[in-house]
Amino acid sequence: MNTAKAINPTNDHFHFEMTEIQNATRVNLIGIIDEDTDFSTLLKLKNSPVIFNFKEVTSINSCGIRTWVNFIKELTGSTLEFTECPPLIVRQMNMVPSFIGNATVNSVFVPYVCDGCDHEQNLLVSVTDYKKGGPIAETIQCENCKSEEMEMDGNAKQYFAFAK
Amino acid sequence: MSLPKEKNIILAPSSVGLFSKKEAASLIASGCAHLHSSIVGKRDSLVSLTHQAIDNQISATYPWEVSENTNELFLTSSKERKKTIEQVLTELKLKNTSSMGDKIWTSLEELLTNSIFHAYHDPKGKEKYYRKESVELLPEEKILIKFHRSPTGFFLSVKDSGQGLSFEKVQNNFKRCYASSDISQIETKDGGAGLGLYVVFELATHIKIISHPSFGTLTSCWFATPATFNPDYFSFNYFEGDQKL
Repeated sequence: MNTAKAINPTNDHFHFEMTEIQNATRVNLIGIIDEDTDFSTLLKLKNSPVIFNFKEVTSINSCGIRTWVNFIKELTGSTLEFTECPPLIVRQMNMVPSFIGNATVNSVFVPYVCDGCDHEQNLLVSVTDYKKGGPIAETIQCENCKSEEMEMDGNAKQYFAFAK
Repeated sequence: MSLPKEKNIILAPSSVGLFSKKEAASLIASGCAHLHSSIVGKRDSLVSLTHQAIDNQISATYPWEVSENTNELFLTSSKERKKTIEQVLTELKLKNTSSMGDKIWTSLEELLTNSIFHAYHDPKGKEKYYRKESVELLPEEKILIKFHRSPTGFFLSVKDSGQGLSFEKVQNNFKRCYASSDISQIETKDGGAGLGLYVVFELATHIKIISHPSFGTLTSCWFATPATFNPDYFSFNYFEGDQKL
């Protein structure tokens, strides 16, 4: 059951929402993570389970990556889970493995692009299912032109390299 | 604002073959300033242009850099960075939520922050601007952004008027980012995280850098559309000039 939600602006282009859910705290990260982002108020979550939701992160730059890596390194004793990671976060997880730290990645959005109309859409995929050998759909139906020609934008093995 | 093309030193050697980005980065880190990954090898037209440039001691201009529809913008302040990137995306008719919009946004952000915070040095040789400060560039320091789109991809270039980017720095950057997979990938000192060039190299199909100690650094990139993208096809070329020659 959800309890109190707190919204914490850290600057004009990033904030996060905290919600208590059963035995964990869910933190929705929203906006641009960069050198101005301050995660220090989240350090009170040390030693407790935290679920970070990345769905609404719109951009992260290299200083933002460093800020994040240093933050989760300090979040000692916590069980961390990442959910709904968009492609821009998956890219960081593949390029900078310390971005994940000791966290478990639960789900990621896989990007698809339509051969017919160039429409793009993301499909949420369970990383646990993928690790168990669950197939990644090679094609899906385009919600724009309804063709069945929507293909994954990239290579599944490379995209899920972080899940090794 | 264009960099002088004459009297450039061309760093060698060059490598042509079929590489992963990681293999390519390893070659660059070990001194390869010109690298082309292509299934047709030396028959690739871009390879010919690179070799002609090396022979003639000038920097190459590649077809992906050239268009009659190239737009230009100047950046004069760090505060204007995000607004400027949004303007570039708008003029390229890209949403930042799209795959290509995200690539262009991320690459431009990294190239602009490198230019603002690392290109300009004080008389003692230290970086002039601090990352956490709001920076107003001097008129002679303004950064030129060029961009265009075509049916096969997107062009982006960023030019500053700073100290230039030495090939040794490029090599060290690639060594650090590709040789390790732990936190040592990231620079811990105040300032940049040292991931910018690594990020752009991973995202772009073609990269060309011209560094000139007296005139600054020009970084040009090409991003292939999903329809034309081939992970085996990419290039990296670094040209360094010296006015004294």
